Amino acid sequence: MFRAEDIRKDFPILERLVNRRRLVYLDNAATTQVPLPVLEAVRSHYFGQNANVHRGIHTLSNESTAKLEAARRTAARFIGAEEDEIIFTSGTTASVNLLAQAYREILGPEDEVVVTVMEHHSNFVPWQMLCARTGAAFRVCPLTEAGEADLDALAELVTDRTKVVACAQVSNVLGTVNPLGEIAGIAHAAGAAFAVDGAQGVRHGITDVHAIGCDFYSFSGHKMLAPGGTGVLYGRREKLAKLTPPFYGGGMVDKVTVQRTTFEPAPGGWEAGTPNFQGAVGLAAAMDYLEEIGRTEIAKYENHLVTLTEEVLRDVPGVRVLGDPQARAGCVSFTAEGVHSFDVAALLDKLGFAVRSGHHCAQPLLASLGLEHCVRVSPAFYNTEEEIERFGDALRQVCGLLRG
Amino acid sequence: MTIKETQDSIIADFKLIGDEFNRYTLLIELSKELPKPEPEHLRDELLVEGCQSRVWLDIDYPDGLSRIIAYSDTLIIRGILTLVLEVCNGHTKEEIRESELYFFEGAGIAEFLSEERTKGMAQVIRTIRASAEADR
Repeated sequence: MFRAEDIRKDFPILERLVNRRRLVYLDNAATTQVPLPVLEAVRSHYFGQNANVHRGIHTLSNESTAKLEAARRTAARFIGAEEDEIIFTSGTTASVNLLAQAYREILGPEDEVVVTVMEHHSNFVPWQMLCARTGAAFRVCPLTEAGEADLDALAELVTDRTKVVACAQVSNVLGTVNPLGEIAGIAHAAGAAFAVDGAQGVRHGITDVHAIGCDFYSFSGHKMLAPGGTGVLYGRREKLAKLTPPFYGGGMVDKVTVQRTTFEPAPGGWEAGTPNFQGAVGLAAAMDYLEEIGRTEIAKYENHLVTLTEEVLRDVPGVRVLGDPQARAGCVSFTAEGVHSFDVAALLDKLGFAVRSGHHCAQPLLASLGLEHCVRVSPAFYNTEEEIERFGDALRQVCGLLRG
Repeated sequence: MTIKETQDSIIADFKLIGDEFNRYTLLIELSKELPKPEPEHLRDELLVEGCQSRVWLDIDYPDGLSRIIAYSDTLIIRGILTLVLEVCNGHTKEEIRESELYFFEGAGIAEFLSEERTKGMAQVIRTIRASAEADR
């Protein structure tokens, strides 16, 4: 069993002072910190193998390509997929947009896309705009009182005209863990593809795309200890084969002539331009790092921290924890009576605590809760119980001051 | 006091307080001095664009002297608005036009705010300036 105190040595940034106080970084749902082994892997690549991939015949290019493809294999293993089903992207938003753009060719006014109201804008707006452009109907599944996807409502919304059901693995505001297996069942029974936004979920526990039963899965490197500008779109082979990649250029073509151009199969055909191969090395290193510590152990400890955070929050007068889902992972959000979330977060920052306030790129969700803003706390496995306790004390102090 | 003198006095006060948290606490204390205006001063048309917190600005020059009524739904911004009013209220359009407004940077207020909110507050200043430019 690891100890957060030991893990922290891999994250020097956690030792910095903020406003003369010890940093307590609780904004991991936004971006996680990058451990030394990952930084070292990227640095080492720049020192040793940095060269453009795939087309060169010189040694550096071959070595760089080998690292990229090894990273692809690592990513495939990480989510239980095959190599040719892993498309490197710059992150979840890019992945979802890539997928939505590909669907533009096959969706029409007789079709439907269903999402839930808890979606991050990156898994909401691409589908919304896809429907606006193709004339397909855009349907939004509501939540239950507890802040979970209303599966009964979903079953009604999904019909044989539904082509895509898209939902989050974990809500970036409520922390709700969605029952993906059940949602996959609803989607597939209607003949729809099931696309999962794994941005918040990929770091918590082991994700196996076959066990989930999803056809597409998107996630970002920077939310799982990897450098920014990295991410993956997983596409089930049979599903990818039916779609045409929507972005063109070098790296994804086979033969180009003035008259016509043919394309590479997946995954290359979906990666136009030079991929972020340096970042992919970092992404693979992050995956190795998580596996070495133990993804299940990490998930257990993080769940413990989230539960502790909830307890600490409920102990502060006037604080209302949002949602009460059966399973929560990664984050918990709250409002404080009589005070604005911005004030809470700003003051906490002055005490060294990094949390996030606002709508968290989930305006439809907040609107459905009758809110305009809330504060989100998202610990990671390098946070300690002591930090959570101190957060509780700081929040009490801040709310007292603001209510004055 | 002139606009410059008021600003210098504010900057001096803030400089005395070394710690950011305490500066914030001061802003919160100041925010309590900003009365909630009558609903007619909280109309949507008076909302300053580009502010994440909501900021209302109602600017008038009865008898040629500025009378600004301002409010926000967030305390920190209310605190900053009390300073803005302290600096800008009770002056002629000419005085406002010809004064440099530098107390944000001088008092380190820009450091308190995220980039977005700094832009929002810059818009507040621009709106006040624009009112002094009108009807020249």
